[in-house]
Amino acid sequence: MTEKKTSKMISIVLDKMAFPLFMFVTGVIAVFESIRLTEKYVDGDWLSGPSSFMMILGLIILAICFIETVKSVFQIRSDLKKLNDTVATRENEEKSDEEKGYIKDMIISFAMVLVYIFIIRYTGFALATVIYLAANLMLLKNPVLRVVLTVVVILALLLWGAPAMGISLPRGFLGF
Amino acid sequence: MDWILNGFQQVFTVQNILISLLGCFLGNLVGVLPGLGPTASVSLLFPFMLKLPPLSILLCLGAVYYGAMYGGSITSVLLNIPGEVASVPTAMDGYPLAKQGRAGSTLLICALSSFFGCMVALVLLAFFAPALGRFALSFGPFEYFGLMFFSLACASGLSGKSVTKSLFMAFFGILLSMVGCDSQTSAFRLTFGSFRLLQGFDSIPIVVGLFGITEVLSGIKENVTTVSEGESKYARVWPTKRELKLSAGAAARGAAIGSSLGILPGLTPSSCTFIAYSLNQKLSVEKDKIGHGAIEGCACAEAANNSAAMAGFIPLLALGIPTGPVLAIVLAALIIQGVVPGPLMFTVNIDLTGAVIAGFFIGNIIMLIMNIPLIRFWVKIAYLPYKWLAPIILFLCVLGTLVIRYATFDLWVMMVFGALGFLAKEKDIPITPFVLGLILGKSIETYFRQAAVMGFEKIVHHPISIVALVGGLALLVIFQIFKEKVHD
Repeated sequence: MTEKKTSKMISIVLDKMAFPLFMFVTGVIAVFESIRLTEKYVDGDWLSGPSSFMMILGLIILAICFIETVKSVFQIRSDLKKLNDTVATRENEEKSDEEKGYIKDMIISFAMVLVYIFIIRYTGFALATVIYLAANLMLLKNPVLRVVLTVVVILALLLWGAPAMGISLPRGFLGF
Repeated sequence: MDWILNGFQQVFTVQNILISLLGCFLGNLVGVLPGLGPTASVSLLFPFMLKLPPLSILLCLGAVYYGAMYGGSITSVLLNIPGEVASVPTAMDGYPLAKQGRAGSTLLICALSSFFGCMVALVLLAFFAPALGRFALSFGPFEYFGLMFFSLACASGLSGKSVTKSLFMAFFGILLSMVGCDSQTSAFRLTFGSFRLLQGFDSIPIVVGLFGITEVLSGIKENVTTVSEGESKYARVWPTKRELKLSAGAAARGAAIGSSLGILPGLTPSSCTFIAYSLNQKLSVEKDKIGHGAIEGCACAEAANNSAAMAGFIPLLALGIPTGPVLAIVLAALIIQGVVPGPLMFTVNIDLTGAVIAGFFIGNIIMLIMNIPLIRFWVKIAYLPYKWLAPIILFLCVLGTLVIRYATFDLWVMMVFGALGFLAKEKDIPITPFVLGLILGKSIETYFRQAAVMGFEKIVHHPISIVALVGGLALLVIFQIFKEKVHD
């Protein structure tokens, strides 16, 4: 129970502080890049140079980050207080289990597109598309006939439709 | 008005009419699909249009935009599935009417109200935009910087729950637009020694990632499903005299509110629709029925929605300032084609502007004629299973991004922004200010630097700039206070 509570506390802190952290990193990058540009490229008027606007943006972002951090700290405190009073119900847990399945599908679909993009240069666009579509349609539990028909129609469009429209797609080791 | 007549002459070609027809059809098709709204429709389809000439791009994007909006209203009425936020009021009144067997007449009223709203905004566009464009000829860097800041401030103030987060997103968008080689000094900015970043980020993969990939990921996660055949009945298609009378007044109110508010940056058609809908509730004849099946509610919402969407073209064409993400995409497409919207659209490019207005007019007529017999077909499309559509939409995102410049790097950018967009959506962080910042970023920095060369002390001679800057800051403060009160 204590371990579960600690992990929830950590997730609350991470959840609230992730965006301010992202803001901080963005602001710092803008300010440091602006300093680098000023040293390298600016001789005369700083304001009309390539670094001034970036510096202003960076400083405003850091100011916004400060406001957001303060807000997040207050929110974390109130959320942690609430956590002590909350008792997770069995119903909620079951619901989240059901949702976990969809989240898993989503993550795998996203990963499949990443693999799809990665293999385009080796297999060519048409073959990569066939592999990707078949795999993702199967993952989302489409009937086999629907998968086959979809893949065949899209492959035909890519092999004959795209060249007819003047679209040239990357070819792979099989020559298409 | 000769320029408008010339526009009609230019547009009346087989190619342009076919493009408008295709745009309406594709917009409707994507608009009725579950989980995809107008922004996702436009971002998904516009990479495929970039090989067309500027006039065709504008006609097609415009047709996709209002086609997708109308597509959302079909699913709202028949299936109680609003494709986008702006269609929620239509669903609230349209679905109960459909259940009473009045789906046919409701859809016809929706189509007529959408058409009426678009026409009102087009008349405004034809008469008001040239005047605004002529006035803007006297604008310099100070005025443009002020107006762009005002636009970003409005978008940040109106989007999301937190003004500070929205403002950060706008600034983050501007920062990303700075990546690459500076055009004035050839300085490499934010490239971190990467050869690929020298050209900067192309806006298309980012937009496709943020709207296309994000929407599909959310759809899979939320297990978007299409409902089984509902009990919606068509029965009578033609509305009664009383329905027409009630709808005419409501549509007029919706069009007036939508077209006047739609000009303002940051006020998306969704916001305008809700404002018009709630005002109409107070003024309508059947007040008690609103929200439970009143034809007035549908007419007002549809007229406001479409007139606001069309009115957004006024600041876009006259000043080069988009009011929302869809128009930011249109702006990006035009810039890629070498057409820079602004006052010159009413002098140098007057032929193009006239043709665009005429094209939108014809496109709306095409949509009205096309949709009435196709309603049953759109319903069938809406029943397509999402688990089949999702991988196909993801494939279209990859194909659309790849064909722009055949760079695999763009595909990775699309995926990164797809993931970031998804996280932003999950955490209620608005994307609209980011897109506006990204598209306006280069211009806003250029105007800032030009103003710096002229000397910032000269701002006192530019009252419009002062008003816009102070107004923008005031809006941010007001929205921050207002949102905190609402939150409390």
